[in-house]
Amino acid sequence: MAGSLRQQTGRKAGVRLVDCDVHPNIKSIKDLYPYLPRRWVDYIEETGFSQIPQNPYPKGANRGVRLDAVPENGVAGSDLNLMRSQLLDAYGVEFAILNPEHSYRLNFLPNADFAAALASAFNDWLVNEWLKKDPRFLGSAVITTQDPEQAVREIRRVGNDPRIVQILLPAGAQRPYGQRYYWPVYAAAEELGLAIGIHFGGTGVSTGHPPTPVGWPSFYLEWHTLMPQAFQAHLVSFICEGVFERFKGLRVTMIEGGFSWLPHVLWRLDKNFRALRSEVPWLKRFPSEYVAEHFRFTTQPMEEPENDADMLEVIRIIGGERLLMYATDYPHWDFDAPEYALPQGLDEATKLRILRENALEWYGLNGQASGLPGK
Amino acid sequence: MGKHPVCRVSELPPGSRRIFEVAGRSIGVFNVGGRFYALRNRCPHQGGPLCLGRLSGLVLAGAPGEHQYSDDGLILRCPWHGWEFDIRTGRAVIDPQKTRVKAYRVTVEPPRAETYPVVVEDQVVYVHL
Repeated sequence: MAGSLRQQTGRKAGVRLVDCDVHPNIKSIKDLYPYLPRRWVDYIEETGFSQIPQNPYPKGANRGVRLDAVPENGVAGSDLNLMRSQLLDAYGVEFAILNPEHSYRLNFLPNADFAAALASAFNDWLVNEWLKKDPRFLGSAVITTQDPEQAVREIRRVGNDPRIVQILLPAGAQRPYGQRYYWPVYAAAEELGLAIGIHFGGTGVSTGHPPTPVGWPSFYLEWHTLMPQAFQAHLVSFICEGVFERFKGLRVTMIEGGFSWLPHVLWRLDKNFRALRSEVPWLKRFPSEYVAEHFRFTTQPMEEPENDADMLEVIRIIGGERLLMYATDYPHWDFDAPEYALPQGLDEATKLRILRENALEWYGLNGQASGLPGK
Repeated sequence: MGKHPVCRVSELPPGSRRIFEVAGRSIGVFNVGGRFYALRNRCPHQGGPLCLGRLSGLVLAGAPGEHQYSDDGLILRCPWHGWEFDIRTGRAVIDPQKTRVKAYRVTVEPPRAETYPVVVEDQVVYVHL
């Protein structure tokens, strides 16, 4: 019954969506065994390793997933047919970018070689169990940056598959992503025409830092709300370190990190730049001027102010008709449904750009049939 | 809009719920400890299937650090975003005046055709639109 309701409203939307954040999931770590070297299967069996490091906050609502997305046998996101019926078919999704659940938190395993092996396994699992099975799927290949050399090798190993459109990293990090430590990764991504996708999560995990600069908040509510701090730190770092002067074709997708903070951060950054420019003399433009060319922001979880007109104003200020790309975050609890997510009063052209066209351009999918993206 | 029979009492034992199509509406009918409640199966937030959500209790506090738990089983949380609704009224816990889902009156009565007394289990659950 609920399914038919969603189908109805999906058709009403009338737009072939591009969903920029969808999470397929493994049922257990054993799903990766076919894609792991025997040495690491043995290690998992020997040690009883079962959980990729997680932040310590119990997920406050519905165990973190849409309850109606949990299949009878398995975990949310693990059932291809349910994902088809509940997401792709229900809403008329032309392309869905898959960001495998848990995978990006491999960046917080202390053992760099184990982490890199699991990342490779996730990527092969993604290609074989998902991308090959439905032409609407495109994927992000995860890398682990404990050892940047292995990360670069992984990008080169999987990055030529036309269904891989992005390299996946978590918002939580050991150091800001603009720093030169990461530049070999960006060189490889730029060369292969892959975006860098930075995804919500990975703050307050295992070997990483506390989730905020002031330490550990008490609640999941706080942890989730403050996630944009990590995105802000990375955006400022990318710009100030001169990443886009060195890698002029690099594209960075900020996934699930919000966007209403952009006016504050960019106004402050531009103002400071007037006085402090000589610290970063390689910048050839005002910091804010790098954003439109090098960043996109996915919409979910859409900020929901009391007054929709306030959101329209934010979208106008940031140039959201070009910067924003729609995402559902299926099957997570903070999923956004397309017919409700965008503010009332948004003009049709902007809506079309956000729901579809911006992502087609960003990932080079224009004029391509499903499953045959160009780079 | 009238009253609509949805099932027999025996088909909806305490602790259970069922979703019915009633006059074109998807409606969830709940039996919580022998009392029946009915809500529109559509969250006013983003249209999620509200009545598939988990039933929990009401957590309140008079001051930071307090945790008062009451109304166990009477707070329905949307299976998508976890918004809380009072199953008795359909009103949202956080802003009851503003956010609400339609709550329907439920009665348990003998089947209409019967003219003799029937045992409770054979009586019929009616949803009043």
